[in-house]
Amino acid sequence: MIAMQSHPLVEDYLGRLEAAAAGLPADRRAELVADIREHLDDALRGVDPGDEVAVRNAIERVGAPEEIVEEAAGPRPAQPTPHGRFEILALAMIAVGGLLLPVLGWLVGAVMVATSRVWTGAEKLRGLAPLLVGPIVGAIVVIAISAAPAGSGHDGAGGLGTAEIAAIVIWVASGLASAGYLAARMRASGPRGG
Amino acid sequence: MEPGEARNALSQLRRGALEFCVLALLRNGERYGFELVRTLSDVDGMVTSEGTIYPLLTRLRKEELVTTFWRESESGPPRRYYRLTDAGDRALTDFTTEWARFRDAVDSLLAARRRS
Repeated sequence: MIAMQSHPLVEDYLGRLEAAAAGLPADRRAELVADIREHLDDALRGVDPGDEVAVRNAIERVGAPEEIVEEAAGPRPAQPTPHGRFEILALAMIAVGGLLLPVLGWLVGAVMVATSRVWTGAEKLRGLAPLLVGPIVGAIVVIAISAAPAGSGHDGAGGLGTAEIAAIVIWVASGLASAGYLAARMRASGPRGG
Repeated sequence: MEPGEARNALSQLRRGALEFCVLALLRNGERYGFELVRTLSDVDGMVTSEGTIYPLLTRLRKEELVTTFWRESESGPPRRYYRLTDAGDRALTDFTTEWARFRDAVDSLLAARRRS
């Protein structure tokens, strides 16, 4: 006995299913087609092969080949979230904004980070911490050096003293640290998708 | 909200719940593919295309929530049967509890009266 042939309409449908499933691995495709063949054979058991309406209805219930293959292919990988210009600008404000617009630049950057949805709450806290701690440490350094007796850093002639330079370095470093951490987290969380 | 959004949300929910409906149908013993699929498809609003259940069954087998075996049929070639595994039974029990909580929560929020 030759391999059992189903109704011509069923064979035609299975051919279209097989073609639609060309993108699936061969074993998955063969299994899918065999499952659907068995289903249609069961559905048409006892049905007169001349009853074309019944055969077409059974095929109709099974559904479009593309729909079945889409289900078999599984969910599509999530689209990576594009890093918005908003986040880039926020990081730029945090990194150097404080130099262009003292205090205000950092403040704007911090508010932008806080309102962005790219970072989690914990990431925002950790990322903005250096920006908050930096100025405090800087202020303490300024006070400590200024208060030191015979401050050798003071040249008195209007140039920047050791205290001021140290404070500026700390402020810049804290801004860069914040921006660096947030940029790294942004890249890490990017492909997670929406 | 667009009417399409409600339909899309329901289609996602249905997709998620469907596999547990399959497991539930196997709770009282093994069934073969066609029997399983027809039972689901005869429930109004559950399945639009019968064929899409077979990839789901394949997935359940890969996740070892069901096992399959072949059995001779009285009228035709052997059929592939599906049977719930212990892991499948546990997953079904968990889902049943969580689903009841979720359903009650959604119902209570949806039923809350609009303040006029």
